[in-house]
Amino acid sequence: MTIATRQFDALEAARGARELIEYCYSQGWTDGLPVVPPVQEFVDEFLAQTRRDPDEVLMVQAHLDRTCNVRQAAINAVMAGCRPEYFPVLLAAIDAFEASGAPRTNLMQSTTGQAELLIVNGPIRTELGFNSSGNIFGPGDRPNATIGRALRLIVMNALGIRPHEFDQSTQGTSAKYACCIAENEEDSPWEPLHVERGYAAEASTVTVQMIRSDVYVEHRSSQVPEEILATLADSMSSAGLWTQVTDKRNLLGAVVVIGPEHAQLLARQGWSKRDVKQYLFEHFGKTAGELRRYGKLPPEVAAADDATFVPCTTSVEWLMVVVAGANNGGVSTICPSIMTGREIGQHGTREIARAP
Amino acid sequence: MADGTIFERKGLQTAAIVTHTFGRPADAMARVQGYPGYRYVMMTHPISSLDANQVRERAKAVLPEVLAILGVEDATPAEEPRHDDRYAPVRRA
Repeated sequence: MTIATRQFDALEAARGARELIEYCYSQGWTDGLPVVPPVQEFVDEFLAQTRRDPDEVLMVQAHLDRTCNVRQAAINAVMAGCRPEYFPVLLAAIDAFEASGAPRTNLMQSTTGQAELLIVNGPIRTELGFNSSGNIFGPGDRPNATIGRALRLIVMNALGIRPHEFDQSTQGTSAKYACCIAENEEDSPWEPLHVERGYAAEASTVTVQMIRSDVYVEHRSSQVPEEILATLADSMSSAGLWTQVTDKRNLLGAVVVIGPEHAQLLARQGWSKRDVKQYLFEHFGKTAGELRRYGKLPPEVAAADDATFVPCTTSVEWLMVVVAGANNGGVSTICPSIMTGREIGQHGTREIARAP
Repeated sequence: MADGTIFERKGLQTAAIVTHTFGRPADAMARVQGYPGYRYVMMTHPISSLDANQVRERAKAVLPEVLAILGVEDATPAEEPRHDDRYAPVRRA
């Protein structure tokens, strides 16, 4: 084949690909970005990565009469731009998401407009090339970008929760395009999330948690653990995050993504991950006086005096702490979460099973 | 809307009330639940920031239509409720 012939073939192929991409747009299958056309051959490559039956149902939206099975997951993984070897990660993510209980609530249809945060742990991070150390919430790394995107495409295409219809987000969040990070276990001074949850260090896992956004938190000028943690707790507790849908107070949770510099500073001064979570739990809230000033004092504590501390949550278990990002600055991130109808800590993690 | 259609299926006559910005999801949910064209009451948005008296006024305003849906009396609203199409996606050719 000559170079000229290859160029000609490439041009024809590109025209054909564009035509198929436009077809996918016309079918309403995309998130606004182009997708890879999910032809059967591609889908079969993904299904070959698992022993699970293509018809096995993974998620159910009973009130919408919609489900997602293994085949639909593969189709959306192809469209999202995943490589076939990513598919076991996506299957584990769907299992974790289902186990978290979130898909059985109305959260994906809520005006709060929440995203699915995926956290990957274990050796698979390096085997597949996940980014865990720099620009973790930003673009640039295929496993993070495409696996996160695949789960959102499944929500839209398989579960039928699309914007302007069943997705009733008032503003949503850009994290709904894709939000998949990996823990920076190498730069973390603490046990990683999956070990904290009882998995072997050699296991690879994915954890899924619905979040409202990712909130930047900076403290570069202190070596005092309490100053850094108080800054994190303040960001977790900001007035805008307090939810008032009914007279009954909605409890809040948070995924606290601590940058390595903060984590190492805390650990050097003797703070374990448990100590950090306990401090954040005890300072996760506002005084009644502050809430009164914002007009957000929950009715159940309406008579409280100004100094009374009103906690956002009831248990340290509603906080998740992971270490991720580059070890190059005093920056961390809070991913706020509403705790309605599901748990944050104990169920939303699954081991990634790879076909032999 | 899902609750309303579930009640209907169980034989309990229901008047579902949604605010006008939720017309599209309400129609979609009615379709999914097997009640395309299900008649419901469209109320002015928003609700959550109103005080108790304002909510009472809103309730009074839609009461005739609620009663009409429930077949209590003929109280068809003078103006047909319509969705707020500002919230519809823009479709380009």
